[in-house]
Amino acid sequence: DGVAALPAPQNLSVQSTNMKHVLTWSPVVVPEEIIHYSVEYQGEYESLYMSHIWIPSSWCSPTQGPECDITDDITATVPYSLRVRATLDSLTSAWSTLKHPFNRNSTVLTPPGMEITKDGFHLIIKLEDLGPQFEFFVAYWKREPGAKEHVKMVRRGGIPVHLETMEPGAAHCVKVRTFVKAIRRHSAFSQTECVKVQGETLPL
Amino acid sequence: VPCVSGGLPKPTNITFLSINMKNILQWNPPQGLQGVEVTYSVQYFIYGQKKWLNKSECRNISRTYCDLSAETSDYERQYYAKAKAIWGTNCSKWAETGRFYPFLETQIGPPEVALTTDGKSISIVLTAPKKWKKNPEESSISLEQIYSNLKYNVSVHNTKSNRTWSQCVTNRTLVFSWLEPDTLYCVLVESFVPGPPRLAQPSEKQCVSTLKDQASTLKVK
Amino acid sequence: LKTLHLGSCMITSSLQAIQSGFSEIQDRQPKDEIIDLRILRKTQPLQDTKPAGQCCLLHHVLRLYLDRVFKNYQTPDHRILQKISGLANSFLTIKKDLWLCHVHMACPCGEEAMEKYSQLMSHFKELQPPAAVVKALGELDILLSWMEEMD
Repeated sequence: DGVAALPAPQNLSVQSTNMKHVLTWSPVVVPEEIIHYSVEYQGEYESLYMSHIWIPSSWCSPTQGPECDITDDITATVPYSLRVRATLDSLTSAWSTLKHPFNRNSTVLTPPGMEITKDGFHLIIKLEDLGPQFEFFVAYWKREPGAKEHVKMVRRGGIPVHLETMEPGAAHCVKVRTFVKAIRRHSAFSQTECVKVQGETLPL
Repeated sequence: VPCVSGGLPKPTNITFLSINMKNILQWNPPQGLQGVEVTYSVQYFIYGQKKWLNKSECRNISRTYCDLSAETSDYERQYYAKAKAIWGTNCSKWAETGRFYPFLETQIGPPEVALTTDGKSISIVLTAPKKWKKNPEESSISLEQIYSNLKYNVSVHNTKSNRTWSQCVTNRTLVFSWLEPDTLYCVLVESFVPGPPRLAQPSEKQCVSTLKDQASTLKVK
Repeated sequence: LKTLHLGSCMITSSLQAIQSGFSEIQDRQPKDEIIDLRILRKTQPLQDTKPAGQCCLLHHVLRLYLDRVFKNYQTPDHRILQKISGLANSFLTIKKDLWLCHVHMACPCGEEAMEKYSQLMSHFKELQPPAAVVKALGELDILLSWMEEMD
């Protein structure tokens, strides 16, 4: 019945960074032929309550490339089983299943990009837009001995946010890390960046 | 005299337009009846109750909207509403809304914004938007009492540097000091409630200018 | 991130993400034609239950959704199937957290909670199974706003 004539994809693995998850596998090669693949997934709910149910991936049923962006499929912090099979016309391979279920709480969180600017005496920060799952933990302080560190949660990237009003003559420093509510984890802090506002005299 | 139902096409696009719990049912006239003097009647239903209720002030009306704020003021309930077109002895079938849930669907209007300056800084005082009320004499209910997580997104635009920066706050007083002299600053404020997406309405833009340069003012580099 | 205070049980959950997932499919649900019957009634919301029983009531309601609503929801539309899967797996995460409270004796099932749950179940059983599933799913926004108020 042609099911096993096509080899199943091998070496399935998931690369996940900043809550973007990509499933990859070794391509099935048939000279001068275009192989298509279908990806399906099963969350913990499906495996516990309806184990016969597999859900077609949002973007890869079917697909040509040996990879699939499964970000829109992994929408809960539970283990997900993933499987792939190859098809060539009427030929279909067996399913190949990811060895270990993937949980998005294993994603790699990188320090966010940030742009520190000033508008007069006002310290402005613009953070990398990483999507709705990300909040930003911003720490800022005046660079002087014993300075108190202030903290501000910024809920969205991509827009300039007012941090504080700076005093003339002093350097003000900032570092940021991301926080992902859904997995209750945060990234490492970014590099510290400092800006300074010159100023000759204080206003009366 | 009961009309012949189905003799006319139904009104279309029937929805609730809800802002601060002022809930207006609105619809488009039936298609293909231009020039015909159609009137409409409205009924509403409280989800889980037993029968449709007439809205007497919206019986045989020629306008294409009906204020159901009083009938839908319990914002923790859900509602349906429907309208039908009438012309002579003919009338359409009812056109019905989906289930309307004021607590989750009402648009949160902008706060009142009081913008003042002492010449070198600007202070912004916000007054929370208020829930619709039937009579002016009734005591006002602030939407902060209904949405404990209500927040404000304050945007400040420096017209000289053409820079805009924002700040998300829950308190209602902000002061931005050490501003540039002789500069027009414009402010926009938007209320929002974290949760399901809602349409938002920013406040009217308000602007204020800092004083011209004084003898011993800072020169910003 | 929402912290739900359920008596002596406290859990955190991304309610907003669940609400957003639900609002994406809300308008594409089969229409609930039975509008004179509610399963989650205003008279017995979660938040009006005594704190001691809130955890138990929510645990039972989530179990109803996991065992009999999501499981029996039929749709040919893959997009909706994907969203339902997201909702079900998110509810499962909350239920697992509630189970931990139960293990630590922080989720007692008092008389009030069980009475409310049995009333709720009786409303659910008044309907034919397919209609009950459609109605329960349509009332997810009610359940989520009840949970939202448990802070």
